[in-house]
Amino acid sequence: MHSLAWQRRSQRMVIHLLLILGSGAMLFPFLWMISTSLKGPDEILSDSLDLIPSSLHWQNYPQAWNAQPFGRYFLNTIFVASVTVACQLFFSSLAAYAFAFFRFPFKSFIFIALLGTMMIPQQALLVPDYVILARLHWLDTYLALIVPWTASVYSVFFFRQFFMTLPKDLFDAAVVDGCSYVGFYFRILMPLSKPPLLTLGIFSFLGSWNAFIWPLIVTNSTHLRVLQVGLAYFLSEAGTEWGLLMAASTFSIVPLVIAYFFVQKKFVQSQAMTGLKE
Amino acid sequence: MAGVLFEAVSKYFENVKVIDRLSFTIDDREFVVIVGPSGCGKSTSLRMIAGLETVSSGNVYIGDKIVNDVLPRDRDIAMVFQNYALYPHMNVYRNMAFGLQLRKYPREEIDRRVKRAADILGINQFLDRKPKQLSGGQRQRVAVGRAIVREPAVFLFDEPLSNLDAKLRVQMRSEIRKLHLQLNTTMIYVTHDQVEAMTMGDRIIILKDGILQQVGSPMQIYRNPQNLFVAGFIGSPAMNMIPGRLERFGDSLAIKTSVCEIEIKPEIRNRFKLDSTSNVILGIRPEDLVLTGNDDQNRAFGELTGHVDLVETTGAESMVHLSVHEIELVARVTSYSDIRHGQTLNLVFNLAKIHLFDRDTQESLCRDA
Ligand SMILES: Nc1ncnc2c1ncn2[C@@H]1O[C@H](COP(=O)(O)OP(=O)(O)OP(=O)(O)O)[C@@H](O)[C@H]1O
Ligand SMILES: [Mg+2]
Repeated sequence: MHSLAWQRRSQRMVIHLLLILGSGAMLFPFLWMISTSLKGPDEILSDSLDLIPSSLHWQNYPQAWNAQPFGRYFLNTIFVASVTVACQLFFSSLAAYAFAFFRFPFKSFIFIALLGTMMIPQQALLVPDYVILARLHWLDTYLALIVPWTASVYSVFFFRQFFMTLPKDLFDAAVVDGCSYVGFYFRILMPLSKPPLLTLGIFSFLGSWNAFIWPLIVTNSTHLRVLQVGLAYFLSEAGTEWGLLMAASTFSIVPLVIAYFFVQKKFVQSQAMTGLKE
Repeated sequence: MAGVLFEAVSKYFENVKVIDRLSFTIDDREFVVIVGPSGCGKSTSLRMIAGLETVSSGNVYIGDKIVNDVLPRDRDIAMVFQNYALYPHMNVYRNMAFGLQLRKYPREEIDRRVKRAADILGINQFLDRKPKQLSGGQRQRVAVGRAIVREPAVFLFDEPLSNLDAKLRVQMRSEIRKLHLQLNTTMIYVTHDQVEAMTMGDRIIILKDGILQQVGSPMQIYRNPQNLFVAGFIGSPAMNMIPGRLERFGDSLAIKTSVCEIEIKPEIRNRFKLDSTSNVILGIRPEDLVLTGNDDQNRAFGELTGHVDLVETTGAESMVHLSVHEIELVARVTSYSDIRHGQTLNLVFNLAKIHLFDRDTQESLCRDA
């Protein structure tokens, strides 16, 4: 009699249990990082596995912050990530606009060639990219950190797929209404593209924030260092001072966490609904 | 205010000919319907008037100007699309105002025009809503409103009613007609629905496979279809078509079909060009097949006897589907005549209303067609 309802309930309990275990596994390293960042060196090196520190060493934070010019690193990262995201969204959507709405010679060939470049692993491009930048005398400048990331084939593809879900009549209606091609892009297309803008914006921001290898090899000067590179230098300098290291790691993700709370709902939505029309 | 003229216009899509040397004239302030089966090139023709497709050869005139190379926005036209194509992120007011804003009209003028269009269409209470919050009929009104506010010389409609339900479609049909009387502008209306074409058009342009079939007023076309395609396309139920042979006996002329034999009297004969042809198709509209009431035994000359397969009634009248020697015919009768499936009936042709077509060329043999 009650078996169906009961079955549903037990199913749901199992699912929730799995989810709780999963999120625990994901969260634990973060909690451990934060906990370690508040412990004194003695406690860290002791055998204790307590998550709650016996005494709170808040001073780890200012100490870590001052050990390196982290303020500068933050500004660099924010600047590089913001400009990269803005440029990438703009250029990629423009390219996708052409691919989705216009007829031109060799269109499919060019598009497939572009997609083909996605199969080349990033690492294989490090050296040629480096050489190009060297020839342009852009090494150790902001240009080196930003320009190579201002277009992305993946974003072009993603935008194009989204644009193709829009009715073509929308374009024709705007053209008859007197819209120029540029006008259509700014007045109609972009306002309708919030879902892909947000999704791709988040991904490329995260990518830029977490980028490490590329900034490491194209910049030398301290004043150009981004956060991840700064952390790495700090790691090698602070060596065994785990408390300081974890404090630095913690504040390096704080802006992301804050940003996440702002866009959380949209973020989950955009991952779930990418490509779907409302 | 302007008419539209097509001068031997052709259109190719990647070497496929979609419109073939199409010529027609649409007068200023006329309501013209372009009709034809799916894929015949109606939308393409309309889009060439709008400037959304280029012309492969020939000339398109709006007013007395060739517009082949004029941008859509400079053609003084407005278009209503089948799926409305409203801007989803703008409310109704902004949807209608958009074209005027782009043309830098003063704010008060825009406001005046939008309010007036909203009045005409009865969408005042929706001005703040987004398209998503409207029903299909309301969206279609907004799409029409967006065209009205521009006060264009020519309105273009591409199957604007085909996404609406049957009742609303009939209602919007007459509203668009009234709108035409009210605005007194040239309107070109594309549809695949011959009923829409017949009820709405001052004149109808019939296309098939990108080739012009006939142009004329609904009644002209109904009375004198120029070829078999038009005869079968216009009118519902379709005209009955019976293959036959012309036979001459001295002075008299008869049409022999498997259904019956009809003598063509001289006064009727003059309506047709019958010199060389002998293979013909005899066409007769369902309403011109007349019940005689005779029973089987007293069959008169030219009368035929059919076996009733099906009776469809619409209330005021009934369509009687008959078979006569493997030929299927439909007769339109008033529905109080008590006819049942399985019965046999005698019918005669209203000879004044017969149509004759050449079986080879498919063209009408009627002189004034
Ligand atoms: N952009 C295009 N590229 C290639 N062929 C096209 C294009 N647009 C239309 N066609 C072809 O041209 C022909 C006419 O198309 P059109 O859209 O004008 O037909 P239609 O009469 O409007 O039909 P429907 O009633 O289905 O809307 C069709 O065979 C269609 O496949
Ligand atoms: Mg069409």
